[in-house]
Formats: sequence, C-alpha cells, structure tokens
Amino acid sequence: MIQRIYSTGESSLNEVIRALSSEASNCINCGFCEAVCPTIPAFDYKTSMGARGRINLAKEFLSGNHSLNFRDPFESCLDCYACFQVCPAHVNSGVVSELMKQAIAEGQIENQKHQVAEMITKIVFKYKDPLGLKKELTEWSKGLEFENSYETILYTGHMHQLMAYNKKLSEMLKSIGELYRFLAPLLSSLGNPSFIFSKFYDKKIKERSESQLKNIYFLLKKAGVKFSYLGVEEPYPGTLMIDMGYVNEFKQYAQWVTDLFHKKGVKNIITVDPHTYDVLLNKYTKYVKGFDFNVTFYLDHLSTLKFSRLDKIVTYHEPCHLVRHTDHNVPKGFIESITNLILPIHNGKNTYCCGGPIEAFYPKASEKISDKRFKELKQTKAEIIITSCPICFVNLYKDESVMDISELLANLVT
Amino acid sequence: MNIANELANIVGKKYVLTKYEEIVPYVKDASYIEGEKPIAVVIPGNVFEVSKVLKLCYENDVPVYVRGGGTSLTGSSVPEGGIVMSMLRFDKILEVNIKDRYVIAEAGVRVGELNSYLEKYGYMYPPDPASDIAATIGGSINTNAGGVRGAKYGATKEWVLGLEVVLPDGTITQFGEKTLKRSEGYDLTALMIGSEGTLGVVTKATLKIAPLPEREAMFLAFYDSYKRFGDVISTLNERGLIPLTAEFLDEVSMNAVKSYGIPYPDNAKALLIIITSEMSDQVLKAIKETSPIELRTIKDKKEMDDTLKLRKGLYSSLLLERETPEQRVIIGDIVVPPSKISETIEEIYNAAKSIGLKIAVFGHIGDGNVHVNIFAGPNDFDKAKELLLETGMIAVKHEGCVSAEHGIGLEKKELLLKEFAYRNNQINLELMKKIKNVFDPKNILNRGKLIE
Ligand SMILES: Cc1cc2nc3c(=O)[nH]c(=O)nc-3n(C[C@H](O)[C@H](O)[C@H](O)COP(=O)(O)OP(=O)(O)OC[C@H]3O[C@@H](n4cnc5c(N)ncnc54)[C@H](O)[C@@H]3O)c2cc1C
Ligand code: SF4
Ligand code: SF4
Repeated sequence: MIQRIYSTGESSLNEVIRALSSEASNCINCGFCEAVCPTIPAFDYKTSMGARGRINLAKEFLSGNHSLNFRDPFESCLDCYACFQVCPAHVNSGVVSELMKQAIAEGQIENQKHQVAEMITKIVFKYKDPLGLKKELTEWSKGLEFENSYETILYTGHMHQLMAYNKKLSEMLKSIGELYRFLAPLLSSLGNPSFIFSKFYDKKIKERSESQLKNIYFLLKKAGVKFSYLGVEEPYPGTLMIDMGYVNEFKQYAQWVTDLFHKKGVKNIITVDPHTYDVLLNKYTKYVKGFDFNVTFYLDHLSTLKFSRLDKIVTYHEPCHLVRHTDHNVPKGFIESITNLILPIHNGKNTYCCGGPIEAFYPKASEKISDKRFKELKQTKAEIIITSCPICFVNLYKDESVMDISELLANLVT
Repeated sequence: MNIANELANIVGKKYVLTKYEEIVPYVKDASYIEGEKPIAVVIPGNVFEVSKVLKLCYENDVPVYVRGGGTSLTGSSVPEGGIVMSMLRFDKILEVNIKDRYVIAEAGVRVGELNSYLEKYGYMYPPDPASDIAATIGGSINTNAGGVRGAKYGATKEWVLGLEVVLPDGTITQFGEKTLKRSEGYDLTALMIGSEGTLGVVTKATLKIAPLPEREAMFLAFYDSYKRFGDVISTLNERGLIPLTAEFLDEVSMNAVKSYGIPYPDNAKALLIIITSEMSDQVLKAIKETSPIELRTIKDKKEMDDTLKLRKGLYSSLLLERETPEQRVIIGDIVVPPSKISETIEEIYNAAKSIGLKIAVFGHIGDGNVHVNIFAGPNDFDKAKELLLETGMIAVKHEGCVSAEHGIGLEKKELLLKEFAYRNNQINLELMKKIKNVFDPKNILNRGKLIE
C-alpha cells in the first residue's frame, strides 16, 4: 500500500514540495474530478481552471517550472472538495491548491502574491479581524444577555457579520479592477483601516445576518444552553489567512487566539458557521499547541426543542464545509422531520458549491457557479430554499425564497 | 496565417487557448501515453462553430484532435501537435421522449449525468462504463464503450439511433434518425461508432433508452479455480437465461475490495457476480451445478447497489494496491467468446508469470470482456508492453479481439495489425484506410491514430 503524507501547512518549501508530490503523484489523470469541478464551466470550460488541470500544473511546478501563471488556477479553487469525493486514487485537488497557494504566499513563486491577501493578513494580525472592525461586529448582540462565565462561548468567528462588508468590498474590487494592486498596500499601511471599511457595507445583508445571529442566540437559549460571548474581545479565527495560503502566519495567529481562549477560561466553543467550525476542528487541532476545547456546531444543541410542522416543499443546500470537510449531517434529518424536504440533484457528499469562496477575487465566475446551483435548487420546485452557512446564504440569496436554517427554525420552534 | 487568431475570429478569443499553462492539461488522457503540445486548444460552442473550425483546419492542413472527457485509456484523445477541439461546451440534454423511447443529448454531456437525468423518468441509457462520471456521449460513441449492464444490453453501438456529425471539411450532416430501426443501405451511424474521432466530429446524438430494470437478486459465487466459473455463462446461455450483469474478479481483485465489504473464503480464486431480473431460481440452479465453494444471495437493493459500486470502483481499489505512486496500473482490455474465458485467463496468468509482472484480472464475463491489469513500475514499461501484446494475441487465438471497449488509439495499433494478419484479413486494413480517405482525404482528424 502507498503511504501518503496528507498534510497542508508544511513550513518550508521542501516540506510543501514533499506534501505536494505525495498528493499529486498518486493522480492517474483519469479526469473524474474534472467532471464535478464547478470552476471549469465557470471559467469558460478551460480545464486548466479545474481539478485535473490543477494537478497537471502542480506537477509542472514540481518539475521545476516555476515561471507559469499559477495564481489564477490555484486561487480560483473553491476548496469545495467535490473532486476528492470522486477520485479513484483518493487524491484531493483542493489540497493540492491549498499547498500551491502556500507556495505562492511564501513567495516561492515569484511575483504572484495577491496584494489583497497580503493586506488582509497584515490587518488580521494587527486588529484580530480582516477589516479592522470591532464595534460593528458586536452590534447584533446589543441588548442580549449572556452568562458571566466564559466556560461555554458562542463563537461567531465574525463570519455572519463580515458578509455585508464582503459584499460591498467585492463590488468595489469588481469596479476598480487591477487598481487594487496599488490600493491594497496603501490600505494596509493605514493607522486603522476600519474608518474606511466601516462605511462600506450592504445594509440589507447586514440586517439579515444580524437577525440570523439573533435567531441562533434565541434557539440556543430556548434549548437551555448556557453560554457567553466575548463581544469586542472576540477574535477572528484567521480562516482567510489559511484559505489564502498564509500558513505560517496562521499558525502564529491561531496560537494567539487559542491562548486568549485559555486565558478567558473557555472550555466549550459553539460555532455558528461551517467555515469557523471547520477551521477550528481541522486546522487549529492540527497546527496549534494546546487546542483542547470542545468544538460543536450550534445545530447539535437543539435536539430538545420542539418544532411545528411546515407543510411546504423545502430544499436544503448543504454547505461543502459541513458535509465534506467535517462530515456533519445533523441538519438533514432535522429538516426532514419538520418540512416536506426535497433534495436537489447534487446533495449529501455530492453537494455543489455556492461559489462563495471565490466571490471576492473572481466575482464573475463565482456568480456563474451560484447561478447554476440556484437553478438546481429551484428545479426541486421548493417554495423555500434553506442553507446553514452565511457565505452560501449571501451567494444564493437571489430571491426571497432563500433563507438561513436558523430563520426557518426560529419561525417553527414551539 | 496565425491559426490561433483565425480560430478566435470563429469562437471568440476566450475560447482559444495558447498559453503553455492553459494547454498542458490537454496533452494527456487517462492512459500512460503523453502526446505533443498542440498549437492551440479551441472550445467551440455550437455546430456552426465546429463546422467553421474544421473548414479552416481542412483548408490549411492543420490536424484536429477531438476531446471529450479525456478518459481514454489508449492515448486516443492525446494530440500530436495540431489543435485540440474540446467538446465540453456541448453539455446540454436537449430532449427526452419516453413515448418514442429516445433522448437527444449534445456530445459533451457526461454519460453518468445523462443517466441521473433519465432516472426520474424510470428510464436509462444502458451503456455504463465505469468512467461514466466523466466519459462523454461523444467520446463513448467514438470508442463504443461498454459497461456492467453489457451482459444483457450490449455496448454503445446497440443504442445509437442518429448522430449530428461535422465532416472534416466542415460539412454538417445527420446520420440515422429517431426511429428504432432503419434499412437504408450502408449504416453510416454505425460507422461512426468506435471510429475514435477519425471520421467526423459528433456534436449531437439521438440515443435509444430502456426502462430501468427491476433487479430480482444478486448472486455471489466463489470458486477455487478459474476453470469452473467460465462454465456458468455457457450454461446460462444454453438455457436461455440472460442475466442483467455478469462480472468476475480474480484473487488479487477480490483482495483489493475485501476490506470494503466483500469478504471471501480463504481458498477462493475467483468470484462471479450475477444480477438477475427474471428466472432467478433457474439461474441459481445453474450456478449451483458449477459447484462454487460458496454461494451468497443478496436481495436487498441497497446491498446490491453497494456491491455493484465496489465492482465499478474496482480499478480504483487496485490503484491503492500499488506499491509506489510511480507504479501504474495499466488496464488491458480484450474480449473472447464467453465459453473461452477460463482457458484465456489461464494462459494470461502463465504469460504474466513468465514475463515477471503482477496482474489482476477482472471483467464483464457476460460478454466475454477481460481486463488484465498490469502493475508496472517506471522500469517495467517494456515488459508491460510485451505482456499487453501477448494478452491480445492470446485473445485472438481464442477467437477473440484485441480490444473490447477501450478502442485502439495509439496503444493497440500494432495489435490490431497483428489480429488482421493472424486471420489473414489484411484487406480489412485496406478497407478501413479507404473509408478514412473518403471521409477525410487530407487526414486532419486524429492523425496518427487507429489505423495509421
Ligand atoms: C478509471 C477508468 C475506467 C474506465 N472504464 C471503462 C469501462 O468500464 N468501459 C469502457 O468502455 N471504457 C472505460 N474507460 C475508458 C474510457 O472512459 C472510455 O473509452 C470513454 O468512452 C471515453 O470517453 P471520453 O469522453 O473520455 O472520450 P475521450 O477520451 O475524450 O476521447 C476518446 C476518443 O473519442 C474521440 N472523441 C471524443 N469526443 C468526440 C466527439 N464528440 N466526436 C468525435 N470524436 C470524439 C476522441 O478523439 C478519442 O479518439 C475507463 C477509463 C477510466 C479512466
Ligand atoms: S480524479 Fe483523482 S486520479 Fe483522476 S484526474 Fe482527478 S485527481 Fe487525478
Ligand atoms: S476543491 Fe472544488 S474547485 Fe477546487 S479543484 Fe476540487 S472540485 Fe475544483
């Protein structure tokens, strides 16, 4: 049997290369992954922008050809792991992309660093949040009461709150095009960029995301869970850093976050979005010393609640980071028991990405992916489309039939 | 003349790829054969663009390599210079007509996707290669693909009613129709099947469909020698019992899926998997008469699905049995009359032993299709080639053929000639060449493959 080094986040070029070749060399070029990779149709059917093409390009890199344009093929990877699901040789092109992004971020491939990624990493280090916002991120909790002890915390990971800003930012990026190359370093050198970013947000999304967080709070309370919230002291988990390949920075930063949790006496962390859940479960446990917290997803805590039945056809968009990255499968049974659930053609482990992860850097392709997924969801003839991830929600929010599962549950809880 | 610019005028700039990093993925298919970089890759979006591209290439003598899912195992879809024409934008299912039992799909639709779509109508398109997740309608027609439903339903050629084809000079034509039968002279539709992109570009296909069959039972019969189990199909045939699926696995193959859910008795050398849709009692009786050392019956649908999945994923499981990532599992593909399977396999084992390579053998016993999988490290390729040749000739000696469902491509050109020579049928090659010349006098389509 072949021994595999399955790992991202190696710290030197040699280790990245070792991990890359361990992953990529098993590929037999069968093309199965190409058929399910959402980025191929989104990037005009170019196979260099898809799973098998990415492996082929990683092999070029491994053979010493460092001068190609690697940035677009690898940064456009959604990290959705649809490819891994079908690969007969158990190769994960998503992981290959993660490693190649790391090589880019570490400057191993010349002139391909992404200025916005650099900027975000710097800001996260400085302000413990990608946009330097602090006050704004806690607004959802105004007037809510929490426990005094931090033993169990509701950890937002800032994901819901950032959606409103992210939407505006990507609209800005779309309109300024390549100009961001000059603006990004400028912004990251500012004393505090929050005074700029705090002005740019999508009002409707902000209201909606905050109300989703409130619903989650309300559902947990009703289920009798006792928890607290770190408020302005709540740090961002560093998800974007690791997503963009800044592994060494992430390790350092995540250690700081972990130490902070320890200092506060945290033992149990209730996450409210799949990305934060995934990063804590899979990356913190791997790269950080002493990450010994009990990490759960908020839906795991609602089993004692009773819900009235909704006699409507509902379809559920399963987020990749729940079903493929963490194997989380509670919500489906839940929804089935309280609605008439019809799943879309791609469901379960074969779910289809919403396009969200590349919204900021490749907005047009992201939109094509979300349009395709939205069409599939609509084909079920469902009256309500639900999801359980703030990124999926924003990307699929193309009409009023789309809602977060927290909104549905808050309406039905008795 | 700058061919890339001319192509861009036809399909639009974004659908013409010339940068090194963009064309790298088109140089290989799923075989171990690497082609030569093309000048450009073109991704047309409709039949008129295909026509204009071909006309341009025809007039300027530029070879065109058509590519579907790029899953070919014989080097059939790798370019040798020229341009690659990717069919992936032809991804629409255009019409399902249950009343007249056909579906119309564009050439780039994946076979598996078509079947998921038909499932909701209670219908299927029977050819189901293990690669159906990625193999396209155009590619599977051009290789006459088969699958585990072959025992009852045959290969692709039984299911193609009509085709929209663009000829090498750009002429758009249609072969066949929506009708379930025709008697109109030379069957040009049939001629396209298995032609490996050498005669024309398929853009759209009208395919016959069948109701999804009800499965009654699945039988797993284990044998302690290869000699016995080959008799099963002959016995079933004699009694007019045609199963839905009849597959076999040898010991190495059984071992590869053991941990995934099919444990086998210690002294088992072969496993036969049979699925029936009718007369299961009689099938069971026939199997018992061949004295398997163990016989299991599965009636639960999910268990049947899971077992079949293991069989379909067998090649994948063998990949995990490689000793190093550099080792390849070269999948061979021959066919003999079902009654000759046991002796064929016996001889293949002897050949592998004397050449010194590890093999795993499995296949679609229902139609006599044997896949000999060769584990070959980087230094074993010459030996592997020798074994492939020998395997092919063993099949031929047993009244079989050198390729069952994967085609000829680059890999089996020599073998095909040997088969013709063995049977003293060299005239077949001449006929094929003449046909090629009628369709493609300038030889621009898939130059260097099949019969060259
Ligand atoms: C893991 C694995 C398992 C497999 N299992 C099976 C199996 O069970 N049964 C089986 O039969 N095969 C199997 N194959 C082989 C392969 O999948 C088939 O040959 C398949 O039919 C090829 O389809 P494709 O779309 O990938 O074609 P490609 O590889 O892209 O092309 C194959 C040939 O068809 C031509 N072509 C493609 N599209 C067109 C078009 N539109 N018009 C004209 N010519 C065209 C190409 O030029 C080439 O000559 C397997 C392959 C792999 C990797
Ligand atoms: S599915 Fe796996 S083996 Fe096949 S091309 Fe993709 S990565 Fe390679
Ligand atoms: S992770 Fe998703 S986007 Fe990335 S290569 Fe795999 S299937 Fe494609």
